[in-house]
Amino acid sequence: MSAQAGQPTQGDGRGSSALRSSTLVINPSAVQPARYRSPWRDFVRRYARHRLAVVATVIVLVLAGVAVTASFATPYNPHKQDYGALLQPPSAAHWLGTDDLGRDSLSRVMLGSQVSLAAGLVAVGLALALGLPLGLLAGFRRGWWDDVIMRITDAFQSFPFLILALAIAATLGPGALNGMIAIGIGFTPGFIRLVRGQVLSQREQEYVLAARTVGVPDLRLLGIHILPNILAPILVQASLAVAAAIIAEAGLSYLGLGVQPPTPSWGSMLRIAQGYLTTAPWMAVWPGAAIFVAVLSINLVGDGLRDVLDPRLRQ
Amino acid sequence: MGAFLVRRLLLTIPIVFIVSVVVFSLLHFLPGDPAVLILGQEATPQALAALRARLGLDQPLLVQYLRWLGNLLRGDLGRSLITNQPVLEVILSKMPPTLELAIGAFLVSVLISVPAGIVSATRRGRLPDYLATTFAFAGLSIPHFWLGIMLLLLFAVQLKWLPASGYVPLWENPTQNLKVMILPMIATGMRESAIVTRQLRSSLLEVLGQDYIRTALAKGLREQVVLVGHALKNAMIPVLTVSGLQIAGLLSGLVITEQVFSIPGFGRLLVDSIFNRDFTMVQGGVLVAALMVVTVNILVDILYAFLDPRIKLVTSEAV
Repeated sequence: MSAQAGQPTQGDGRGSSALRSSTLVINPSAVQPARYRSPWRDFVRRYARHRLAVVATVIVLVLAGVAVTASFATPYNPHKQDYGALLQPPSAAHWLGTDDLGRDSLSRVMLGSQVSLAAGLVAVGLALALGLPLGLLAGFRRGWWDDVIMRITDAFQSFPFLILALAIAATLGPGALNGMIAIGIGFTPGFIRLVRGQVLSQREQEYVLAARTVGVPDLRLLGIHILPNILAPILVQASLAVAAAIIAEAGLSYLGLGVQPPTPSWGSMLRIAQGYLTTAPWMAVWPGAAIFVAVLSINLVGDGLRDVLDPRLRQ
Repeated sequence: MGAFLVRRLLLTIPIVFIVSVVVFSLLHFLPGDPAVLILGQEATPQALAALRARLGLDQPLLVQYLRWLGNLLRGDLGRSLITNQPVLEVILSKMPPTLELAIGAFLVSVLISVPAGIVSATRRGRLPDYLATTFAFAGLSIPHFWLGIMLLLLFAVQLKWLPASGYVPLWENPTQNLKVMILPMIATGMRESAIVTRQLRSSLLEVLGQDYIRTALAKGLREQVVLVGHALKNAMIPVLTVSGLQIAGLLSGLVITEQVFSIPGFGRLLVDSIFNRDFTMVQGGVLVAALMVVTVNILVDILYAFLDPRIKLVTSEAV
């Protein structure tokens, strides 16, 4: 048996003529070049396998759409008080009922999504803006930079997160933005720790040593080489932190230290609703359900991202 | 063990120092003059001057800090700006309901998470596992204060089985106390149980894959004996650490839970003090909360080293 043109060479177990003559004949047309698959398409293909994460992504996109359009696309004016329709149960006119001032609950839940989603994004954005450079610095420089940054991080992690946020909100004064800043500061130590750990695991890798050997400057090494390699766990952590920030903002608003009236937020709506549990129990159901759906969806998206981007993290 | 303990305590000193600086700074980060913010715009210059002197605001910052730190080391956290009572005394008087709630929430989380984690790990990929992981995921996503309000709605308003409020101390009327405290304990414990269920599932799965488990099963030991006697004992070590480290999250949770259920504890004191602009009380409360977390973290580390000698060796070398 000889290796024929157009046929891939195969051994038959008894020794082929190609092997016997130590000559391997390969037909160039039979060798397919490895098909290039873009990382983005690869990511989408793998993410699409997680049906729950895909459903959650759709819900998050719908929520984002509601938040973006809520300023002009609610069924009623969310601030308009109607004293002829106080504490109405859900009906055809008001799908989720009305509150103690006759305002449409659905419109207020829709507008409340703005504050919650903004809180998630602003707080996590701030935590990343502080945590990423500090974590990179601590992990890359080591030495006393690392010691100082990590001891401060340890100290901030000793404050119960909400109590730190309360203290900051008390110092800066109640308000939506101050609440978001407080939550962002509360999340920063977690990001510093994560980024530092990732940098530590990368800095001894061969590609970093090689880059150093050829004299790549530190800043370029960090930004161009190390950062892309540690982005996946940071992205996953950020998505999960958005969910936690939404709950934290709702908690601050529930306590009266977040968004101030008349702007509705899911947390402040819950605070008002608790006074009407006996007469209008539905008022307490919708804002909480909205928080639950939003947080659950974002957590599922984060879980899906973790599976796709960094399977090692999945336990 | 002694050397480990000393190193661990030494590591705590800079942390406590930074905590003290942050807490001290709280009053000084107030936008504008703290005395005006506390007393209001209508306050007389004499009253403002008196308050500045009382808070030591007329002294250089370093002197203020050192004086504050000196008082702190003697257990003096200052006096309430509203009631003039010693801050530490007031905080300690509000601790019993908070500690009861924390212990109760911890028990609830153990009662739920240990069976859920075991079932989930031993029936991996089957219905009980899916149910337990779904529960854990939902438990992590549900805002516990909303869960508390929903529990109130169901058990206090609709079914009228439990009171919606009316806290009495445990030693005065244990039955009434438990009736009031059970719902907040469940509401707060749910999140912790979700975290512990996930942790127990993953650590148990890891342990169940170890050689010594296979050996134990191969020599004919019953599955339950191997699970409880061999696997669970080792799987519980990381779970214990995670539970201990949840103390910060638990304290945060209790602040809102106490508000939802009108429990006159430490968290409610803190929130009330913020609204009353009682900044010395806020300072004292934040400091006590942080020191509680630092203390529990040390205890967890020591317990961890005690339970797992390998950790002690590694940590001692790493520190």
